[in-house]
Amino acid sequence: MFSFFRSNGDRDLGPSGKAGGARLQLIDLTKVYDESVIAADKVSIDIEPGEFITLLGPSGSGKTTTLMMIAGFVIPTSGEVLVEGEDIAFRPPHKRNVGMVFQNYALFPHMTVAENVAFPLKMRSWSRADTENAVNEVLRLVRLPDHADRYPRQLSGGQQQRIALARALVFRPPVLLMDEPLGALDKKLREEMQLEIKHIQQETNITTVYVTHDQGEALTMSDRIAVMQDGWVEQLGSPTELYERPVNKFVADFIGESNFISGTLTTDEGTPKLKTESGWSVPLAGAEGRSDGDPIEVALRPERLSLGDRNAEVEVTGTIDEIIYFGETTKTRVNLPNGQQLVVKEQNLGTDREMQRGEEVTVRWNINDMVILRDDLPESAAHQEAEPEPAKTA
Amino acid sequence: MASIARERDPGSSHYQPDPRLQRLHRRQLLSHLGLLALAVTLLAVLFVYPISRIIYTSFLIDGSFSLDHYRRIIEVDAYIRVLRTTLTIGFQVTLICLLLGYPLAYFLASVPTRWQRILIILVLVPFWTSFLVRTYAWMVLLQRRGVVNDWLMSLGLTSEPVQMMYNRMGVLVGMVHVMLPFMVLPLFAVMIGIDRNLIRAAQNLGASPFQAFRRVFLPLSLPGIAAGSILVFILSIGFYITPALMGGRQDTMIAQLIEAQVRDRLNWEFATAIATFLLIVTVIIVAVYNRILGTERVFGEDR
Repeated sequence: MFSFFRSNGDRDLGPSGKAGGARLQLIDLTKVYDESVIAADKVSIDIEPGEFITLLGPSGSGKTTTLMMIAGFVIPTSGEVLVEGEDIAFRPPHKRNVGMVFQNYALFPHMTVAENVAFPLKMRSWSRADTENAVNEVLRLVRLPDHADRYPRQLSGGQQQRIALARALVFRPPVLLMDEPLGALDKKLREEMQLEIKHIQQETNITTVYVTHDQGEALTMSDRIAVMQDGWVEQLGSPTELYERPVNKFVADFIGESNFISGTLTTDEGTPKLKTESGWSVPLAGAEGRSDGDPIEVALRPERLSLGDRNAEVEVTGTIDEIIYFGETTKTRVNLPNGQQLVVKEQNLGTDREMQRGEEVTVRWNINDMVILRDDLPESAAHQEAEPEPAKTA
Repeated sequence: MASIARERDPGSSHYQPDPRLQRLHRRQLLSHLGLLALAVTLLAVLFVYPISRIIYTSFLIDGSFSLDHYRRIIEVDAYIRVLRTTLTIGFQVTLICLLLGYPLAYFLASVPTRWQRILIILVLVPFWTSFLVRTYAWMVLLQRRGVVNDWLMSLGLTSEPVQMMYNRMGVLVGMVHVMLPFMVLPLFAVMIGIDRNLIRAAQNLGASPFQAFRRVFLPLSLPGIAAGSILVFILSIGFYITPALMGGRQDTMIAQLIEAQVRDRLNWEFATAIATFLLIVTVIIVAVYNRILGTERVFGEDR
């Protein structure tokens, strides 16, 4: 279908028969501003050819700084950016051959769609015929073949987004960077574009680094996600790994929602238990390698909790503090007598009896639903002081 | 609690506007007209009437209608020469202002906001001094025994004082100084609106910094160039004081000619004819200029 991307003679064809993206390695990539403000701290990610990696984090987490270091708009204080083994960390942006989709698309307003898309080819002195073919092909790829003569301002936000993507792909870069590309779109369109971008990425098999603060977007689109905070990669893993096995409280809280229970590890009649300060103890699994008396904290996803009458390994009774209705789900906040608060998220299946505030309920879950969080490493504690990355120029 | 679903009434009866709405509309219309009336009156009294009077007077000789004044302007070489000088000086001043003002505006638009405020004030400082004072200041600097010549001679760059006044150079120096802010401000206003991410995007797509400037920044700053240039040009060709004080005989501009007719010859009718002629030439130049660059660019409609 999109032979243009497959007929790329510059790179080997992968096993799938598609033109492969490049391997992109970030090695100890660090950016320090004013000798003390750490915007990115030894960011190291080894990205496979054709992989879709998302840098996820709140603003000031260093995700954009990292992206800008790959693009060449921020020069790292130290570290390496390897594309197929070649270090480009200190090259000027126009010599990097890395495609980028900017936050507000950055389409040239004085050029038509075709001129915008042809721009990178013009800079590379492609022949007129090759340029025309490539532009037409990439416009078909983003499903806007009839819009070549329009100006960007005549397009909708979603269309501008596609053109920005087309422009970043047309010169067949080995790596594609995307900086919150869907931030300006409304929710429905955003979800549509997430899948569309994902499909185009798979079609072209281009190595992609995607920046967002939207965890839903990250989970939907990525092969792997790097969760960042204060310039530090807190966890790198597949969406399932991050959601099911968050390593620390920040990740467990940033991706999805979590209940947290903290206490010390005790062994009671041969089974390990978490004992809270108030004396409540919950049976645990997976605490091997820890000894009695160690502080321990677990995360518990609200949707793993249930108020229904099913069989479960852990049961605890409390009173309903608040009921929040979301349409497809309902969140119920339950106060336990020991002071702990648990949020329960249940599907609205239409069969539940109506519950009232103040009502006594039993919350149930299984031992394996509890994820033991890693103690905060001293290293990551050192990153608490880093300041937000400088505001991007609008 | 029972839920309520109301049937939609396809009839239009409940879309009848409330009479209070009509009263509101009427009051709004009146207040708009009131505001408009003020502006229209001001324009009519201070602009339309005087201009009409000037144009009307230019067709009179001793109270009767005639085209002789215009025939004289066109047939006498001296007048055409002065017109040509005026347009040449206008063009030169515009070009120099653009060459000096563009980098300055670019710099202003690139520095952080807090610096911008200070620097903009510095650009505007000349406006706070009477430009007659500024012209005399330049005369002190540029005259034969002036500051600049003293420096040049003490540095040994020249043995004779250099003639920098009572010639074209004096006129240009004085006028560029006065006109520069009129170039810088429109340029700055346009440049500050150019998304710097566009430059980054261009570089990301393979454009060297110079190519990014030429292909993206420069075309996007064209509205500023257009607006600044036309402003400086029009102001320049009507200029009087600087050429009068710092120019030589061959740098006489049209405004000086008008002044001479009014003050020395008391020939108001011919003076108004020259003024009208200048007006017509200006309108033609602006029209041509707009045709080339596009009106929407000058007035900033096109992004």
